[in-house]
Amino acid sequence: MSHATMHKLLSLIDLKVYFPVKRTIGEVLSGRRRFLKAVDGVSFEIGKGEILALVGESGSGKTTVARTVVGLVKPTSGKVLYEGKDIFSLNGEELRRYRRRVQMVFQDPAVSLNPRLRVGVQVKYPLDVNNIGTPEERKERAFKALEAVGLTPPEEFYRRYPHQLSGGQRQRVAIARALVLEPELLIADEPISNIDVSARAQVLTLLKELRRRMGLSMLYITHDLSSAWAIADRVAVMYLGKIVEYGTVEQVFSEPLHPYTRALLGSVPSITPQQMLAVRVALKGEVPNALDLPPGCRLNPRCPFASEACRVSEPLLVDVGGGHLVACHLYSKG
Amino acid sequence: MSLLEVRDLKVSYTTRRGRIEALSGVSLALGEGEVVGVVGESGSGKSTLGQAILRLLPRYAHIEGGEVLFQGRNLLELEEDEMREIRGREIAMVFQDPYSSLNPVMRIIDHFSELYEEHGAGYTREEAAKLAGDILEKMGVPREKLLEYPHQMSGGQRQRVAIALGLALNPRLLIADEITTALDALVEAQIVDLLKEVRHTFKTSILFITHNMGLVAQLADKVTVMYAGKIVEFGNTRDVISSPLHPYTKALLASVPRIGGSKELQPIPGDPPDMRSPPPGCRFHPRCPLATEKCRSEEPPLKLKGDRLVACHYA
Amino acid sequence: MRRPKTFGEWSLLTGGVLTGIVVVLAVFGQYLAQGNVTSSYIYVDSRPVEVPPLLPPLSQVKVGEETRVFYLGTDQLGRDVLGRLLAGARFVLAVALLSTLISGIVGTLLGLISGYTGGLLDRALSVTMDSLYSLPGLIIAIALAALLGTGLWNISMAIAVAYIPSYFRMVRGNVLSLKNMPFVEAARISGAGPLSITVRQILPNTFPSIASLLPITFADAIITEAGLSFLGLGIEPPTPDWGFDLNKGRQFFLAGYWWIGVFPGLAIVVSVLGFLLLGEGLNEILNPKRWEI
Repeated sequence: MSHATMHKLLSLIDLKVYFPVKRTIGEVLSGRRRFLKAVDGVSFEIGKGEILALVGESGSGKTTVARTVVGLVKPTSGKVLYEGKDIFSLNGEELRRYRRRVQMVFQDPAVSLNPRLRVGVQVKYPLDVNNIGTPEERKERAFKALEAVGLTPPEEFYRRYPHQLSGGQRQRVAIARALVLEPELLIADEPISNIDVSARAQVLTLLKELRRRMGLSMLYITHDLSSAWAIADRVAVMYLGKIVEYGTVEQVFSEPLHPYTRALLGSVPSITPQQMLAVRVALKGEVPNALDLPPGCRLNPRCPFASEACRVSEPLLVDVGGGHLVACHLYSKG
Repeated sequence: MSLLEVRDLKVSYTTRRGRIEALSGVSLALGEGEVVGVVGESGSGKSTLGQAILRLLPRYAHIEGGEVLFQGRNLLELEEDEMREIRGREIAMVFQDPYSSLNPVMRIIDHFSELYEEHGAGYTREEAAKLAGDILEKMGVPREKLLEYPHQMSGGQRQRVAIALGLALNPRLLIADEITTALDALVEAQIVDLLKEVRHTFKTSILFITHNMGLVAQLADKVTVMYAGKIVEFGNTRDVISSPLHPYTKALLASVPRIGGSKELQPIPGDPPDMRSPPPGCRFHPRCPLATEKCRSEEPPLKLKGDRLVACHYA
Repeated sequence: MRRPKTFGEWSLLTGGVLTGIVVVLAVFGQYLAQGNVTSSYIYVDSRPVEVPPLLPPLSQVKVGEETRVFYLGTDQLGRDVLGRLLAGARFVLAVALLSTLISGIVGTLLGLISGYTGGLLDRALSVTMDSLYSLPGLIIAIALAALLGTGLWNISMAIAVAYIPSYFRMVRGNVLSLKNMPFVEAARISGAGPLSITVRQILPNTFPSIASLLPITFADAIITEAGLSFLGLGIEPPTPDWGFDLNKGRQFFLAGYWWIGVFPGLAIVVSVLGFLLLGEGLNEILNPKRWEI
């Protein structure tokens, strides 16, 4: 998955994040441990100025990946490399520098902003914490960040409290706060799911502008395929902790290979009667409990194309041409 | 005669920070076996509309005018005990959060028993269990789930149970308020398919409230577009989507990205209005590319243009 | 200002008025009462004149050409009851204020540290505070007052200890529910350390609950102080004190000299009621219930 011409900013190498689960008495006595395998061997890379969309439903592990990249969660195994350095082996000063280069925007702006602090104070806060510049300079930079996200006049918005703003405006404040340290990589965890439809296009357009103007790279997490289409260069589809398909947005969305991808695309409620997909794949049932994963391919109990091989062995990601990867026995060699 | 007719409904909320006009004279009609979508964003009043019809508004809400005619009777004039007979039996409602309909400490079978009892169905325990099991299976939920508690089921199943409860007494009208918003994409698609089935089998009319125009396109015969407490457009779904007349409808449709379509999005400028003091004249004028002096001062009435209702001076 | 509509608004108004009166009287009272507070003599033209004891309210005493009115009468030592009431107010309010501030600051600080740090420290502090909380405030105050002795500071500290657990529990509870909120995670991601997060992000969110607890603590402290002095553990005589006078008045009540004890008692009731209502009203404003928009 490497693009020789691009300078790799972020690399995930076989990342695994397992969460221990509370045990019953019987399990404690028998010494068995159960784990929630939230992320189970995920690898991808993001280059400078690139936007990668991580797409999946709840339980896919996409949010855990995001939280690991920003350091809120520690990996069980595997590596997260930023410009070649393992972020979990950084010491205090280096870690602080990493923090300034990678920032995050959360899903719900109603809770990702402090309800009792003024907007401007919150946008300025990362600068205070890192002791950057003089107080006047910090205020100036906060104004600039507010302007950059379209909240003008910045002096007016600086003074307001979050509850005085609309959902879309709040999310823009959250973006301004993430931008004020001038990061290189932005992790956006479902940034538009909790805001009004008319504000979504504003935020998406803003994010794309920021990539154009600042060369900002992005890891864009979503369950909404349409927004992934609009904003991302590449997309990785996740199911139960693994990547099942990966490629450019054109590759994956116009020629979806994995049954799960096809089911997802087919489920997008479209206002035009026919979807991009010729055949809609229907999966049986719902996402199973992540604690009791089926053997073999994780989709096999629900997949209409499941065969014996699917029930026995997990398919690996293979390149079917041009960097389009899929993990499915339908496409495995031999 | 329409099954449901709302005439000039006005609802306001009294809050600590002032009076909010949630619905400013809303009218709509729904026929037998019809599915009508109500599309709007936050502040549009769409949820208030659903709650007002069943008189389930919170205590700080006030119905200030208008009529809600169900099979000819004005629901707003009924006593509470008469309303209770209608709720669940003639008109049912399903909410975004299934826990609004499901009691976490009651088994599913108990939910049905309670429902049957309240409406004096007089079933024995065996009869109730059989009927409840039947309707659950029609909703794609195995009969065994009757003995479970809500938390033991997935979000999609809970919503199916909520719909089953809604349909248990074969109501004429089902009000679905953002029932898929909290669900995953694949589950959402399953529920949409389910509703199509329901409509076909039970011949129930559905008032489908949502912010997602795509869902409306899949399900509804007609669509009502709401903005800031008013209806701005109403007509056949296919027509409204292919040739929207109101600038807001046009902008809304254009701002949603479509897979395979252009990646350059057209956002709607500005923000939704503060409902404590909505803009004068046409409420959409601050964000409308066509706004003129007339729009700023005069509220456009809902006018008939062909078989479409539009509230715009320039549609 | 519009007419109060809810119970909370009425409370705030009434409480505000009552406490306002009490505070004003405490601060400016000395100019109102020219009576003798600690001694049995009043000075007229630099000559001491003894004041008769046990005079009923509105008694007049002729001293030379002047006539002094003792509006609330005199006590068993001829001291002006009104004067003692006003002077006592200053002392009582001072103790209440001091203990409220001490308990508020200490309890909040400990709650913040304990809640955010977690682990063994949190466990140890919680257990200690819970034990303290389970004891009646007056008992704690008595025990500490006996230990620390008398004087404004010592009494205030003895009383303060009884209220520290309330602030601790409340602030710790707030911190626990806040520390996993996304805005706190966002602060961590910007590189903020625990000190910055607790003080600049979490603390402002605890202000409403602290603010609504303060008047209630104040009211409670008044009662506890009165209780201490009633039992003889408060400030030493002849410093005027409501609790002390209440106790003394008890003895004379049955003999018919009701004004000596009743007025201090009323003063306690009115002040406590005022502050409780104030707290109630403040609580409604600062912590609006969820189901109102």
